[in-house]
Amino acid sequence: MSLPCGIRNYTYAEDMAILRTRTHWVLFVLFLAFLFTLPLYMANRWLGVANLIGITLIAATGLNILIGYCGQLSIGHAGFIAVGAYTAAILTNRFELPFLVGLICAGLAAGVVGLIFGIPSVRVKGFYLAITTIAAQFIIIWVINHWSITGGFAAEVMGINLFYYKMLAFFIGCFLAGIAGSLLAHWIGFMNAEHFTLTESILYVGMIIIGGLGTTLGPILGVVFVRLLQQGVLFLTPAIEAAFPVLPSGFASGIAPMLFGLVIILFLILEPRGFAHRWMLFKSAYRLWPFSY
Amino acid sequence: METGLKAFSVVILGGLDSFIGALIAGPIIGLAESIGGGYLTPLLWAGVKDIIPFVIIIIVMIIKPYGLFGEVRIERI
Repeated sequence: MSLPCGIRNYTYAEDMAILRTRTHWVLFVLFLAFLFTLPLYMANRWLGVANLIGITLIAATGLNILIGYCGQLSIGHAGFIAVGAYTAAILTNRFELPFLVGLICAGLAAGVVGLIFGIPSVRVKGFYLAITTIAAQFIIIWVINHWSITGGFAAEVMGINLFYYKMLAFFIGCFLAGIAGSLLAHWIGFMNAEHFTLTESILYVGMIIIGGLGTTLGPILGVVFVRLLQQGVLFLTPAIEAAFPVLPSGFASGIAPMLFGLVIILFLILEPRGFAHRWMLFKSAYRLWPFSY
Repeated sequence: METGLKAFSVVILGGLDSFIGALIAGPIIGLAESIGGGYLTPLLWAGVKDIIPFVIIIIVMIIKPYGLFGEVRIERI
């Protein structure tokens, strides 16, 4: 991370720390206090949106590990989330296990499924891997519907075990997706395969791209932006329908995908490194401002 | 959407940069779906037909990533 002037890292622990300076810690405690007292004064509906943002964030961070840090393009994330959701649902409902056990098992199950579908990633790269993950997404959803219950070649040259790290990336990324899925299952309350479509997978990849690949801040900004955009479209649609009666009747339901596609295209053209990059530029700008030439 | 995505399995099986591959893989996928669906549906679950193209994608990716007629690209990362 980019630190303020005068603060240097002298040990590995300092270099890797998430909360580095005292300001970080103070802000972190304040933010936790804010989060915990949120249900006291926020309306139920926006509390639901905040819940959805949090759950989506966990899954998006997992996807960020896959795409941003390890370069394994995966458009099948909704499938892995579904694995986690259904595992948690079955374990807590059918077998009466406690919530935390369901959480961990959901993560492990999704991680193992991610391992299985990550095996092709050793042989194929890039576009082919994306197609494989799309196929994985469909296979997972089909199995759910029909089952009766529910490396860097350069790194290899340097001696790092590429296969192991690719598999680890898939496992961790999908483990997080599984955890998010279990939370989603408990939050929504009933399980249906309708939520885990290919559109949802593409939405996740879009969130990562908009937020910024390969950064920790990226998924946060991307998820918040996209979920709030979805809420905004909910408000916008009746207004547009009322304002322009000449439009065909089904137009309003297509505004959300259109808008989302437009946002992704604009971001890929104008700011491919996403919101996180803009934020870092802004921080550097206000740190350097009195010294401009 | 699934119907459109079956086209992916055709190009993956045939090879992404090969016209003849697409010509040959198309009937193969279609026949595999129908015949496989016909034989496997009593044995396994109903609806196996829909998933056969995607399973074929995974199998092709593991065995022969460039498809039947695709151009093999030896890449240095």
